[in-house]
Amino acid sequence: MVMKTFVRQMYTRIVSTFVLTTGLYLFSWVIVSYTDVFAQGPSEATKAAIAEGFKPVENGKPVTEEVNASLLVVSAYGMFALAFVGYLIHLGRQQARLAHELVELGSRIDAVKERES
Amino acid sequence: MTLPPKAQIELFDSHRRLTVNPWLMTLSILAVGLLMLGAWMAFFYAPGEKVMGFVQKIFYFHVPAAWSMMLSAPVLAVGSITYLITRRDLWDRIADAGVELAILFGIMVIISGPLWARKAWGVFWVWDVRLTSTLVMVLTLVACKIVRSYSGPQSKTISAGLSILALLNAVFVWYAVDLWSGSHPPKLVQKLEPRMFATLWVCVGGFTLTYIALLWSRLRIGSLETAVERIHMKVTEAGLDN
Repeated sequence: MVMKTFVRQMYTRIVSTFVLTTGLYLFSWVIVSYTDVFAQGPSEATKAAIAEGFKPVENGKPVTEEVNASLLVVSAYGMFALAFVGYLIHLGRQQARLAHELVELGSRIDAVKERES
Repeated sequence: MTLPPKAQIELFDSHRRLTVNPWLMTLSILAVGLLMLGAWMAFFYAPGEKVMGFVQKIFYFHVPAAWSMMLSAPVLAVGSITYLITRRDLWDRIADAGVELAILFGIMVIISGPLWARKAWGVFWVWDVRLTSTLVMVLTLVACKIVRSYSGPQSKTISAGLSILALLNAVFVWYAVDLWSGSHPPKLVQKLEPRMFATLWVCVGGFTLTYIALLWSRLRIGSLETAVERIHMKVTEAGLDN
């Protein structure tokens, strides 16, 4: 009975580890392949048709080709996530401080009530 | 010496307000779901832009962040103007929440824009009309928060005044692209490819719901802060502070 349970647990662990590792591998592969596709610079044919507002400015032109787009995109989305999480932590801390104050006030009132009764 | 019954009820009510609101929870789950869907669509559904390439992906969160920053304008207008007329704390709390959220989304815009510009323009920043007016607006709002934290009894009034100044600036930011042709790209939403258009609208929906959920949470905390302040005063008045 003990052996059967052990085997079942091991089987579940092996299968879940395999599924998670494969999933992670596939996910990374998809991200890397898409990043490679999009990170390619514009073709020579499209370079001529850049609309107003998207053209490199006077002093910036020579460096635009060398800039790593993937790094910029990852930084931007990382910043968005950080800002949201940071603000939620800020709200959570404010709420925790108020909860602490309320508990303290409640216990003070209870203590006075007990003393009076 | 006991605490007046009204204060005791307020204390109980404040405790109740700390519990999870099922509507707010549902809204938050929806908002997070839409944001995640938007991020997925931006990378795996929307096609790559042929001129800018991969860096264009920043657009799907940059524009909704700017939209959310602009959502604060009516909140600021209603809160600040009504506070200056009525002097009721409720309106000040609404204005304060609007300021905080406008700063949050404004910072997102001011950081993500230059990251895109580095690739597209070759520089992080240009002193374009829209960029400069957005920066001025965010700095004015930061000044509102600083005034509120460090000024004396008049801080709420000064903060409301500064909010109105930021509000006027918001109108300027909105129309800057139409009025002056600077470096910032013009409004191109209608010309987008259908999959790009769908992705942008999912992201705008996600940011809008997030804005409402955060505003709601911030207002709940604001009203709780006021209630705690009132209970503190009543406890002191009743001589229970020892």
